[in-house]
Amino acid sequence: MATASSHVPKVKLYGVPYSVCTSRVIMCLLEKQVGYDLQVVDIVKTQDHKKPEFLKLQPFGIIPVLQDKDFSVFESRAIIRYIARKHEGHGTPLYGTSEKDKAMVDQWLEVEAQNYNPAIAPAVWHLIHAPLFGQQGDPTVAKASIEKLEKVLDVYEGVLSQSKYLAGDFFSLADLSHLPFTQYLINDAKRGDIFDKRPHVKEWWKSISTRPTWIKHLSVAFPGKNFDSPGS
Amino acid sequence: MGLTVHGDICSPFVKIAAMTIYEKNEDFELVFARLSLLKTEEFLAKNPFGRMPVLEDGDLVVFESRAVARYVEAKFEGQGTPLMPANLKEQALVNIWAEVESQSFCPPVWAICSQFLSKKVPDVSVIEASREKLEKVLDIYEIQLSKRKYLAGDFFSLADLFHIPLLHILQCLSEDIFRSVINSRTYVHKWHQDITNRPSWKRIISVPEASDWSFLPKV
Repeated sequence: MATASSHVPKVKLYGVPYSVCTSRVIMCLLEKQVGYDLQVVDIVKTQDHKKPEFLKLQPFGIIPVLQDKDFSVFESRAIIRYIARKHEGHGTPLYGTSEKDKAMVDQWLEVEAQNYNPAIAPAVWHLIHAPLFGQQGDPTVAKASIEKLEKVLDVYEGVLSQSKYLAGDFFSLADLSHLPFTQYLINDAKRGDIFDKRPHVKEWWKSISTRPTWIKHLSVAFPGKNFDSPGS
Repeated sequence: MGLTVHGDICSPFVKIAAMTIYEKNEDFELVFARLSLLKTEEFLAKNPFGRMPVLEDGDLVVFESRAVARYVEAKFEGQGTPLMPANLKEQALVNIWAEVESQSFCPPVWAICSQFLSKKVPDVSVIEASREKLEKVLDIYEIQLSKRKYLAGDFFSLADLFHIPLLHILQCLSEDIFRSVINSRTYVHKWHQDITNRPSWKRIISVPEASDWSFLPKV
């Protein structure tokens, strides 16, 4: 089980542990064994993310923000790049170990941002989160989103038949970035079927979602909640 | 053996790859690929998503334009324009604004452009909704650029570069929308004039094919 390195100073993380983007960062911090203090930003009730104090940190009013002493970083994929680069020397090598590895990690992180995220995000919003924010989810939009996601997963199935993880045979920032939204779609929207019917995707999901760091994060972010064991 | 870029120079994403290569004082061979050519077995073996650009550097194949740009910058670090700082904090600033481009700027701009590129009758409600989103994002850019010359600081970087081709296609497809979102903002306008004045960019748009999308089918 990854624990925070005592010689690495803690960072401050503004966000909420159940948020997709905050989760992305927390997972990276856990993998790199960097301790953090979570500063809760209530995006539902008190709408802290719209208040002036938060907007000074993040002008777009979006969580998370990482504060490393006097330096602030926002945009979750920029934050995870920063942590992975700063702490290259310890924890999981999330950029791989060669220049070629890094090129592949950058490529698959872009694939996640440009292809996977736009396909999965509407489904998760309309099926799960819309009601939490007082809005009506649209099942037609969710269906179209899942159709788009299945086309992306068809490509992933081919890629993952050649390598264990997306960027190669090593777990990287690219795989990590997929965890939060996928978890919601499988465990809350109960759409694990679209992953299970693609054997290499299924195997990949089982591998990344059973990492002790991810399990630790889920137990903190969703205390008392049961998660289906992948592959069951 | 040099760099090969598969794609069509009219694509803003191919332009990202091209501009990065030129900024590093390097050159590349453009292997033309468009529409049905992107779905051949040969092309899909390079990019299973069937999209351009694809960069080939010897045995290495890289796709996703922003990843191609990052690879080129890293490979030719120390020559041409430094597009990604070595300093960790400055690097983070570049990555922040590269993500803002990717997540907040590109989607509304592309949504507007897609209407003009692929529809005989562009959907005004889609254009207006996207334009509203874009204006809110550019309000923040205006404040940012009032404090520093470029997005990540007083140095030109990949974060600025990633915006150039999309702004170009928007301007070509709708000068009206472009003027109202860009020219109306003093610092954004100044930044745009500066970054599009770079020789690498002028070289790309000096060829007519770079601004010709007339071949695209419209529904």
